[in-house]
Amino acid sequence: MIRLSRMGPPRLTFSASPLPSSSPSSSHFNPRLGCLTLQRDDATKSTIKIATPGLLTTASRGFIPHLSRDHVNSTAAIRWVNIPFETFLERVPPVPTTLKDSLHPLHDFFKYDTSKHIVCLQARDPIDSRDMPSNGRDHLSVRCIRGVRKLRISDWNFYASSTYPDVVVALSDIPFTPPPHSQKRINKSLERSTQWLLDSLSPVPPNPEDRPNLLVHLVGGINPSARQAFSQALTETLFGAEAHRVKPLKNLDDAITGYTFDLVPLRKALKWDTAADNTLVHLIQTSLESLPFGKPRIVNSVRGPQDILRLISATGVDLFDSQWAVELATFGVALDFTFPVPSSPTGPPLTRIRDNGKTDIGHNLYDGKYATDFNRLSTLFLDGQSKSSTPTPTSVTATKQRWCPCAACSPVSPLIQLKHSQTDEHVPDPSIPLEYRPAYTRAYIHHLLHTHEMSAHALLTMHNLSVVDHFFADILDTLERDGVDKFVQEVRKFRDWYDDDVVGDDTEDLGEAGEVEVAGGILGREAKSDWVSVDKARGKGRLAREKEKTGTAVLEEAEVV
Amino acid sequence: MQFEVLATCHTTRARVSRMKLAHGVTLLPTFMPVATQAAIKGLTAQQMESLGVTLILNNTYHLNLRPGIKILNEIGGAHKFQGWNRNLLTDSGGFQLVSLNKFTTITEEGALFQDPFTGEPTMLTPEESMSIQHAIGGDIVMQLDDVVPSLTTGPRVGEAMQRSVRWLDRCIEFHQKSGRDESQNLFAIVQGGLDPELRKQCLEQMVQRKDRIAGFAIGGLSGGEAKDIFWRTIKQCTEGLPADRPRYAMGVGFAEDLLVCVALGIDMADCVFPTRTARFGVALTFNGPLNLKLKKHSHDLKPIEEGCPCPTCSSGTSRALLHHTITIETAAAHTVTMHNLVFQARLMGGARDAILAGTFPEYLRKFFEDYYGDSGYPQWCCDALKSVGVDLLEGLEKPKVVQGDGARWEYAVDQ
Ligand SMILES: [Zn+2]
Ligand SMILES: [Zn+2]
Repeated sequence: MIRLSRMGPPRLTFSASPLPSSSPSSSHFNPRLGCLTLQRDDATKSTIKIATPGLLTTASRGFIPHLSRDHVNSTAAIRWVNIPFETFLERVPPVPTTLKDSLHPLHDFFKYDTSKHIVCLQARDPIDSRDMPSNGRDHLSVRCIRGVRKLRISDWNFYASSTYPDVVVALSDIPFTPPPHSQKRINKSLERSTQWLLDSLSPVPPNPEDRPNLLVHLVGGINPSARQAFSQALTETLFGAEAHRVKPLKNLDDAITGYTFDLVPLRKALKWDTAADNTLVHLIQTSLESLPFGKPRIVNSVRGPQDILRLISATGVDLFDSQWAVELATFGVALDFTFPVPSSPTGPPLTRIRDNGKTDIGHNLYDGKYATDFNRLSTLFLDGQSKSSTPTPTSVTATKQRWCPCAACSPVSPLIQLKHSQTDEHVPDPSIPLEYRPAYTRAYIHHLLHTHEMSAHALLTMHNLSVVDHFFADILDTLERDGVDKFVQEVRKFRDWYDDDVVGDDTEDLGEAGEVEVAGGILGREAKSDWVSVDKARGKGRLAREKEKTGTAVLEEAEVV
Repeated sequence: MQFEVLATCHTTRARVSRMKLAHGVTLLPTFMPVATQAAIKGLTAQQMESLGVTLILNNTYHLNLRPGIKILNEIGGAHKFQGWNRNLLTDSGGFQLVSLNKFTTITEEGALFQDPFTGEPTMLTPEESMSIQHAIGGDIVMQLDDVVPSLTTGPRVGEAMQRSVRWLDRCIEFHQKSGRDESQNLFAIVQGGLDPELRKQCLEQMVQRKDRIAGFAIGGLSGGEAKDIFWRTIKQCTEGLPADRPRYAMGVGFAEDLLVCVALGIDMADCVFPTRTARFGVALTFNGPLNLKLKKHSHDLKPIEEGCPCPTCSSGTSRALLHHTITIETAAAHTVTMHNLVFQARLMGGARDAILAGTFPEYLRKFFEDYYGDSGYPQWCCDALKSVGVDLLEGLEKPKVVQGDGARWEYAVDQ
């Protein structure tokens, strides 16, 4: 079982209010407004709130990609952090399980802030689509840097209890063997997932407040009746030995905090067929149909804003991972889009308009045209300095101008400057109010990308996460102010306005199927291809030689003196 | 530039100075992190500032290729381009021309090389180097010198030294006529290879031009020469340079080298070492460098260095977490880079405080004891410091001294 924490887990509650719409479909799947609240009963008494629909972030080996701790802390968009655990199985015991004296081992080890960050532990990286050996009756196949490992179910339950995560994702038997999967395999998946869930629950602490915050994958692959069966099994009253094992629970669902979906294995099973987006929606609906309305619905590995809008509209999903936006930052894209679409399409082109008549959701800063572009990253978002100098609109009808609080658009003078000797004179005066520095320019980031400077990706990651955070705030706003019908109209406009197709006509030469999974339509694919070629050019030179010499991965090598 | 010596060590030649440039005050001695391409690896300008860094270096050769002078002129210089509003130094571009281009030929006019983008033959003259550095807008600019590899011998070394003096005159001429000498300060570079006689001649000629030069650098070292010759050359130069000008040792970055140089009278130094080594997983500490890739760190929950005020150590980021991520996650490299830069700054800041307090010899002894206590003191450091009155081995029961030049590194990989 996943044992209770030293203090009892923090209280995670969720409230969702259904929004009425004129559509005849069930309000069970309508877009909804909600709030996830995590309250700590420890000395900090901190409360973290996430308004939904909202975003979550996923760590890689514990780090938000490209971001140092100060950057994580200054990025308000980072509130929920998924931590895949599998890489820690490289060492025994896994080091995050060894912080014996800590009340919040994961926060302490990874340096997340208990007053700002909800940390969610899961076994596998939800973005990894690579084939894996089958899981066994008692183990899940996971991946470390040195290959595949078997994670025993009992070990996982021990790890999950000794690390005291705020939220934990129950293990599920999701096949990563090459599809298609036989009926027999799918049945086995259901049985094991249910069994593993029972294992993790039993014995159940009598006091509900002592139970972990548990998310469960709704499994069943691409087989609707299997999905239905799994969900129904969660709410069915338990009998016999099973009931005895999880006493006093009446059914499994009573111990479940929320539901989660990883889109990667579903898309893999659908052979990455982009025409299958409606199938995906249907599969998620099938899983949720028999389950209660009031629990959070979380989706990992979405591919961009269109995906998000579709799932909000048709399935009422509450939280979405933002790995796609981080990946675009890796590929040199600065996001520059809004929801609803910009109202004044006249004026200077915001982002590039493609031959298909659709607009890019951002800028591929590898592109030579940005070499002399001294503007801030996003046209649609003011930077800190221009926000401070723009008078606030006097009339209520004036549209409020969005602004981006990220460290690229709105850098601030550092509050703390280290002093290294008595003579140092540069300690800032605390009486001087926070001052915005000029925004980093597209030209600068363009330069950093072409010179392989990692700072580019740090700045772009913070920016992109902030833009995505604003995207959710705007969705919320639209739903709240204008209701579902108007929202659905805006979603349609957004779909027609922005180019966000994962596969376009130009994708034949982009290699194997899984590789075209870049968000951002043509823009994303172009950026990735530029990124690859700049990376290759660098690999030919010094980097390759140093790789040979040291036999290790070298992150960056452009420093030549 | 306002340059004022605040204190000098009673024993060694070390001193503390205050250097005021157009972008604020920098206290010397200091270490200058290298932002080759207008960025310190993975960090932002604001992060650098928060680390207490007040002076960084940009490489002229690289910035001239990318983003190029046209763009730098348009935005108003490298400070604005990279969002850095503290002091900035640019080198002349000559060193990279020689080290990165096989076919560079030196003529009296300048350095002739193939443009790496177009393949066109291109000439970097002293005037051109000045003009590029004017566009970059560094607070300190360097003369173009005729660089020969440290280990070169024969008449070429003398020729290069004499030419560097002639090029210095052309740089001074161009710089003063440009009117940029108010805000940008020109440093000369003392050359002469490893030959004391050539160094002497160079020093004499360059010091004669002192009134038109803001500071002096020592070039032609840190290129694989024996450490014994390295420190003797530094000593000869600092002794020959005027006290009222800052002295800059180019390409020096190992902790022990820095402290020896400071004791010999050096005020400034730069090196890519602390940032580069961070990306390979090496964290610098007062007890010697740590190779975070070693398995022995895999479960070590201690920070890199107790008491270090850097964001990495003060937040308690453990060696175990860095072991798990270094050379794999870019963010881990940023994390160690911040620590290493703070280490360099603390090393030099500690030296400033000790010089002011009159305890610099003790500071040296303490540093070497902590850093080399177990593995033995490098002979050359003992010799160099003895030459300025500090005996590192004094009072030690069984002093262990090692020959050779190498630093003590945890470089073995055991995974
Ligand atoms: Zn931004
Ligand atoms: Zn530190």
